[in-house]
Amino acid sequence: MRKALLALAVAGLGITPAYAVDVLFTGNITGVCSLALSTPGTLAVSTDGQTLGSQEGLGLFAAVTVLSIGNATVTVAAPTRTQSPAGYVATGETVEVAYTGLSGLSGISHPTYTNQQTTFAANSLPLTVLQLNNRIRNVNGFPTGTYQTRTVVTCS
Amino acid sequence: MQLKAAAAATLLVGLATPALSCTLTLGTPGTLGISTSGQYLGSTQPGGVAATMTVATVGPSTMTVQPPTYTQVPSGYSGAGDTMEIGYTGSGLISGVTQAFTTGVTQFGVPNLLGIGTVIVTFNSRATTATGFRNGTYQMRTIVTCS
Repeated sequence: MRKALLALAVAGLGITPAYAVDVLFTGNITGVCSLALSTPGTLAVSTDGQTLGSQEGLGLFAAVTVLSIGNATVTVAAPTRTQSPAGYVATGETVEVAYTGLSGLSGISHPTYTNQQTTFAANSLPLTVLQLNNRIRNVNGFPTGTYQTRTVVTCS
Repeated sequence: MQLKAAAAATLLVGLATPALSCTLTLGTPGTLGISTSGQYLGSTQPGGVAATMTVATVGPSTMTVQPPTYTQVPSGYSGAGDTMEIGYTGSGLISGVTQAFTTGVTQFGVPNLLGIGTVIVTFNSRATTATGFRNGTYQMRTIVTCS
């Protein structure tokens, strides 16, 4: 009965009691970055015989997929030659890399070949493709056989 | 006999009035997880956990749920332009209450629980980044009001 009378009093005055609570959500993001080689590249020799590269003749670029959550830095190391046939004269050779990003990395481009390590920021990227080209320049030419270059890409 | 009839009528009026008493208790605070795409930070993403709130009332009540806001973001992250959403579901006597993620203010009713029963509301919160989340700690707050 006392509660009912209080209800009447509250309603009669047009005052409605209000109660509130804060519902909180907390989370912590630590950097996550993953790389995967989706397509290995193919090297072909140039018409003048002094360049062996993925942009020569029937050569193909290599594709690396990048997924980044939070802040990340992608480092593209200087490429190295990891295989060559007997009789190859390495003196004077230059091993270089160039790359271009697609979609989320479209602003990332290093189309000029370099034999140096380079880096770029990859902050919160959806699955994105990085196309890499390698080449070896050598005035001594390239004897018949199998060649392989390697570029180490890291995300940290 | 006349006295009994008068008492019953008064009681019915009392039950029809807005909440005499409403107690909101945060049961479990929520945890935010990050989506695999990096686009969403929310309690329904991997690693996330919903928040729960218990409601006890005397008299029918109206719950008002505000959209979430950031109360903490990492240094260098503004959050401007992010889409902030809240969704919830009820249980027990309000099991029919379901709100998909929304950026707006929403309301739902809670019947008179006579001060002896409770209902639980489960909340999920989500932010969609406009610029890409940065590493660090994020906190969102949703204000729920009972009246």
